Formats: sequence, C-alpha cells, structure tokens
Amino acid sequence: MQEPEPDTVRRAQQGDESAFEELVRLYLADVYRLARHIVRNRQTAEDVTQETFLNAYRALPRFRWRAKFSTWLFRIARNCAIETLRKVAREERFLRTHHAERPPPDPTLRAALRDALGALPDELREAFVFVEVFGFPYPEAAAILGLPVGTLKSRMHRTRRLLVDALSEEDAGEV
Amino acid sequence: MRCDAAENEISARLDGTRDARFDEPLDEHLASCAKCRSFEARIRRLRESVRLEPAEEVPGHLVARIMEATTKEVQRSRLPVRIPRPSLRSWARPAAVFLAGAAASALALGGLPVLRRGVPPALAKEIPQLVAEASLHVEAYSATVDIVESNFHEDVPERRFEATIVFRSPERFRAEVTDRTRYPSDQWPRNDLTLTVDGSRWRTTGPATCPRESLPVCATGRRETTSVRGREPFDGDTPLPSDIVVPVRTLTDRQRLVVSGASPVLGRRVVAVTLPYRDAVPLFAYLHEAGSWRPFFPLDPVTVLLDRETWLPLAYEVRASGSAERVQWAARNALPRERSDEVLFSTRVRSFDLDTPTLGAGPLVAGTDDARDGGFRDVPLDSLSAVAGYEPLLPGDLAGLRPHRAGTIARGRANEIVLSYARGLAWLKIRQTRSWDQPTLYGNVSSLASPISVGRGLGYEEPATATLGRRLSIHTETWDVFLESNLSAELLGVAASLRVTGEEAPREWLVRRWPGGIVREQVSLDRVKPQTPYLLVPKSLPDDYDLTVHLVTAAGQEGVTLYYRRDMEPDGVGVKLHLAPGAELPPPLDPETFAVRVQGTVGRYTPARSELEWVAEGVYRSLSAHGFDLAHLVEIAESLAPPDAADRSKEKSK
Repeated sequence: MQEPEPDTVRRAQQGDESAFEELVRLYLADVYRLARHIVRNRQTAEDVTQETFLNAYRALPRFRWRAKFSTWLFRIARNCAIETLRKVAREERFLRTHHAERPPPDPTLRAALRDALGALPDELREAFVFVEVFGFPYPEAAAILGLPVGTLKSRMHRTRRLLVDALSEEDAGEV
Repeated sequence: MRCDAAENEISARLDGTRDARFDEPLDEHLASCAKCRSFEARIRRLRESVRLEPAEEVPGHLVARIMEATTKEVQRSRLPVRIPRPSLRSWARPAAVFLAGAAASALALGGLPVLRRGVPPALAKEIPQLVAEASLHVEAYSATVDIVESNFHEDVPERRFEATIVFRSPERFRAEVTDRTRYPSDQWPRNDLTLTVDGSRWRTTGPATCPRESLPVCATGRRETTSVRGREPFDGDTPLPSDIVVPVRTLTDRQRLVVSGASPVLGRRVVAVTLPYRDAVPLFAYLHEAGSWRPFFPLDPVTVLLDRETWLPLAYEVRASGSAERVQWAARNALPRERSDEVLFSTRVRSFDLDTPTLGAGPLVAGTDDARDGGFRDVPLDSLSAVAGYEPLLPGDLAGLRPHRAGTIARGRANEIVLSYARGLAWLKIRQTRSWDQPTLYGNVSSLASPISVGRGLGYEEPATATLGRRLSIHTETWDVFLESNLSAELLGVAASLRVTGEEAPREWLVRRWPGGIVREQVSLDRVKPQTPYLLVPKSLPDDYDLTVHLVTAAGQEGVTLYYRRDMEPDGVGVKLHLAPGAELPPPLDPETFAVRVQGTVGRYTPARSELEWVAEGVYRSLSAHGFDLAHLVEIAESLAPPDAADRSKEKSK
C-alpha cells in the first residue's frame, strides 16, 4: 500500500484543503473498493467512502504517526463500513423486512467467487479482503481489524477452507 | 502433523507469515498428503483469480462530492451560518392565549408527544452543529417555564414550579424559580431559588439545604446566599447555565443522540432528542445550583424537544430507566420503586421571546461586602500590558467571536492575563502567563490532558465535561497559555493563531509523588508492557474513546491505570481500569457491595462507585465507569485481552 508524503499529511492537518484533496485522490480507489467489498452495494459504498474521508478530515489533527497513514485511514474506512452494515441490519430488523433487496451483481468478480464471498460471515469476508484483495501483511491487517495476529491467521484459514469448499461444489456442479 | 494444523500453516505461508518451527513438519506432511497439496494448489488459484480481477471503476464524481462535503465542513466550523429569526411577536401572543387554557393539562406528567418517525437521519448527525451555530445568534432571551417533579419525598409525591429565565449576551443571566407546591404543612421549606450572573458578579439564593429524607424536621426556615465578586469571565466554578437557553454543551456529541420526530410545541415544529441523564446534566444546572431536588440515575433517559428553527429546548423530561442497579440505587436514595419509563421530571416553556431586551444595563447583583473575591480584575485591553508588565498574546483568529472582558488575576505570583471573546452564547477565553513556576500544566487541565497538534507545535487537551468547556494548555519556554471554550470545534484554530509553538511538557511535570508511591503520567502502552506483563485492555469500547496510561509504583510494585475518555464525560474520567499484582481484594470503600461472577471468578461490585473488582491470575483488577450499569461493566471486563496495535492507535499520550 502506498504512503503519502509526510508533508502532505502535515499540511492537511493544518487545514490545507488542497493537501487533503491529494490524500483523497491517492486513496479514493482503495477506500471505495474496500467499502464495495464490505457493504456490497454501489450506492452505500459511495456513502461509506465519503463518510470515511470526512471522518478522516475531522480526525486528522489527532493523527500522531504512530501507525502508517494508510493503516490509520483504512481503520477509519473499515469502521465506517462496519457501522453502516450494522445500521442496515438494525433498520432491517426495525422494519421487520426479511426480504431485503439483494445487492446488484458485482460485474468485476467471477459469479461463483462473488457468491461464495457474499455468503461468508462479515468478519471472515473483511479479513479476506484486507489480506487477499489488498495484500496487507498480517500485522497491518490485524491492526486495522483490531484483532490479534493469531486470530487473523486462523480466520484466513477458515475463510480459505470455506471458499475452496464452496468453489469445489460449484466445479462439481458444472461437471 | 494433522491436516487441520497443516492447512492453517499453508494458508499463513501463502500470506508471507511462516513459523520456522512448522517448516519441516509441514513439508513432510505435504509430501505425504494429497488432500493438503490440493488445498495449497486451490488457495493459490483462488488468489490468482481474486488478484487478476480487474479493479472496479471508481465513480468519477466521488472526489468532487467528498471535497464539497469537506469544504462544507470547513465553512461550518469557520463561518457562522445565520439562522433566520422567527417572527416571534406574531406568534408569542396566540401561543400564550392557547397555553393559558392548556398549560395545566399539557403539563400533566403524561409524557412528551414523541413520534417514532419523521426525522431524516442526516438531521440527527447535524444537530450538534446546527445547535452550535444557533447559539451564536442568541443575543437576548426570556422565557417562562413550568416544571413538575415527582417523588421528591414520600409525603410530597409531586412538586410544581414556575421559573422565569432572562439572558442577555454574553454574561448577564437571571433565573427565578418559584415553588407552587402544596406542602403538607408550613414546616416544609419552599424551594424558591434565584441564580444571577452579571459579568464579574455571581449570586445564588435558596433555602438552607438539609437531607431530603430528613425533611421536614431538619428544615431551619433559613435561606442561604452564595455571592462572588471578581469573577473570571465564563468561570466554571460560578457557571452561567446557558444550556437552558440553547443546549450547546448537552448536544455536543452526535454519537450519543437518539433523534425522533415529535408533535409541535407552542405550535412550532420540534425534533426530539433522547440521551442519558449523565449527558444532559447541563440542562439542569440552573436549578441544581441551589435548593433541594430529587436525584436521577445516570442512565435515566432524558428527552428534549428542540425548536427546529431556533434550537431552543421547548420541553424536556426525565424517565426512569429499568435495571436491577437502578432499583438498588432508588432504594439507597430514599426513592420509591419507580417503574421503568415512568416520567420523573418534566419542564415545558410556556412562552419565550428572543427579541425584547428584558435586562437593562443596570447591575443585576447589588454590591455585597460578604461576597467571596474570585481574584479577577477587569482591565481595558489597551491598558493590559501596562498593568501586567508584558504584551499579551492576542489571537489572529477569533472564530467569529467578539472581544469581551479582559483583565488580570490578582491572586498568586504568576501575573496572569485573561482575555475573553463571545458572541451570543458562544465563548472562548485565553489565560496566559510568562512566569509559570508550578510543576504542572498551566490552567484548568488535569493529569489526563493529552497531547494534540496545535499549528506547528503541541498542546495538551481535555474534552468538555458537564461543567467545563473543551480545554487546551500550551507550554513554551517563554509562555504558558490556557484556552477554554464551549465551541469545541474552534478551539484549536484560535490556539494556532496565537503564534506560539507549543513544546512537550517537561518530563518532571508528568511524575506525581505522594507518600504511598509515584505516578508516572501519560506513559505509552509499549513502555508499561515490560513492567506490567499482566497488562490487559478492554476490546469492547467504541472507537471514539481515547486512551491515557499512568504507571503507578506503590509498595515496591508496579501497577497500571488506563483511562478511556471521550467528549462530555460528566466526571472527566470516563472508563478507568487499574491492574496491579495482588492475591486478594482490598477492603471495600463502600458498605454496599455485591458478589458478581466475572472472568470465571467471583468479584465485587460496588454500585455507589460504579466499580467492579476481582482478582485473576495473581492480578488485582478494578474497572470503574461513572453511570455504567453492571451488565455493561461485566461486558467490558469479559472483553479484556492483551493490547495490540489497534489499542496503541487509541493512545493520545506519547
């Protein structure tokens, strides 16, 4: 994951909007892609992306370089996405609608893989997205997810086992 | 090696994390196990298919949308938005007529007319900002308010009051509360109160208080007056309880608000906001400065009906929350068993006026010789340097506020200058000195203040509490500066415009010694870890909690105290976790305790202190959090685990 120039972050911390826009452009695609994987809805992913950058803007004065900038930002993005998922779940419970609209198909993933990913529990899917899709090393992904590295390692194993099984059934079905 | 363990290692190895201990056994296992070889091949294919997927195109308009929202955010915090003034005179009279007939029945303890729907979620997020903006425009306010309180005493199940409130920006305020209750006899003291603030003077009067449960026999019939002169601008000890005009402080944190629609009040559109009593304390400040009132449980819900146009609190009520701890709390406080959701206190504005300058220019508090001297002396801005002997630091950015009172503090040796700025209900003050000689941070900040970037330097910040604004202390070689404001968002900008570059506080300021030992304040988790191998941190707290760590050395042993706080902690502390080596619980500090099962052992719960204590693995653990119920404390206790990188990111200390 690329890191910004420290000076850009410092200028953004002091309220320089053009510096902040540089950061937005640098991370927009990754943050949107992450949101898309977690919330699985295009419109909601856009909202999560906007909320992530707004929260980051508000929190910038408190960023103290204890983590990489990308780790810090992805942690905000992940929290925004998870909070949105919870809200959606709450609303669904509140409305007692058990026929929530299925998310529109994601054209960028092979159908079988997309379905298998979509069927994963949220906590496994997000671990998979950070490690497998974004290629974060375990310590960084664990920091973003707020997990011990050992837990992340076993989650990755469980996720891969589930996906391999699901895709094997798919293959078998095709044969 | 079993297949399950082998798969775990194969998966980790693919991600570049290998455990050398397993290298050889894993390779041996793979050589002989076709199933695991197949797993390895399949997860490699899975990786290829995931990583070879083309990245989805990002919607082109997103950057513009984000930057637009960011610019809006900047403008909100920099440029006050003018709220259109309601044409009050046109509606105040009909409303008064309507209420003359309806007031008595409308104020029955039947509850506020809260609706379930009707508020867009965006509004819920924006309310604190809108309320802060509205506060800038309230120059004058007067209102008559009806108040009903239940269960004050078993012989007085209901009390009724009428309050008149008058305010003129920035620091003139008068509240008069008249007790309309029919008491069983004349022996009962009438809870008639006044609170007056007039710049440098502050005064309260009310009946001499005695324990509520001992009434009426303990009543002396005397009245008490507390009077202060030489009051510093916006002094926290002699507060101007302006949340009753516009609840800026109460509604500072959007994350804790539950918002819903409500039926109109005084014919005006309102929105209902519900929050726990512990967060709504500033709304009661004008009453609780004097006299006797019933207590509320910290988690009792308070619903406030806010005028959608002016954000004045037109009505609010407190209901009983329902939990076993609340039942015990009620019994301890000589209250009857209050059923969950029962209305305990309700207040409703009968009429209000934002235009008429009801307070003239004359003094509100007559000169009293027995007044306590607060030590502040008003000095005109252009004479300050001559009086203090140095040129004051003046802010370049006033955040839209206007200069208000300035002066010096007569007490002490620090030769301090105080500047204050205000507009409407919003205020900010700056205290400064060039001769600070105490081994602590300057100003009204505690040892929990945490470092934050201010311009190109550093400051030490504390969030607002129920009685104090957001605060910031800056230390440089020459200057020590303290800022406080009820406009949280503006504080750092104004501080940066003072053009001083804050430095790290001297190390010795962060070490506190007392006869029993030493406390090293604001150390990092990494630093305490080697000395406290038993260190655990809660994993169940929301992300908006910041962490401050203190290392405690007493009786030759190292203990650690973690403070988790967010804005508006009523006690300024939030969640406190203390861990130290120990084999048994110390003697209880309160007579009422309960045995509780926690982390597989039996611990002790002290409701009066909201404290859960237990011993596990040779470590004494104490968890306390003002206003948290037992279930919440146990949840936090059960989530304790060794710290990781995510916990370090919560740290505000260095």
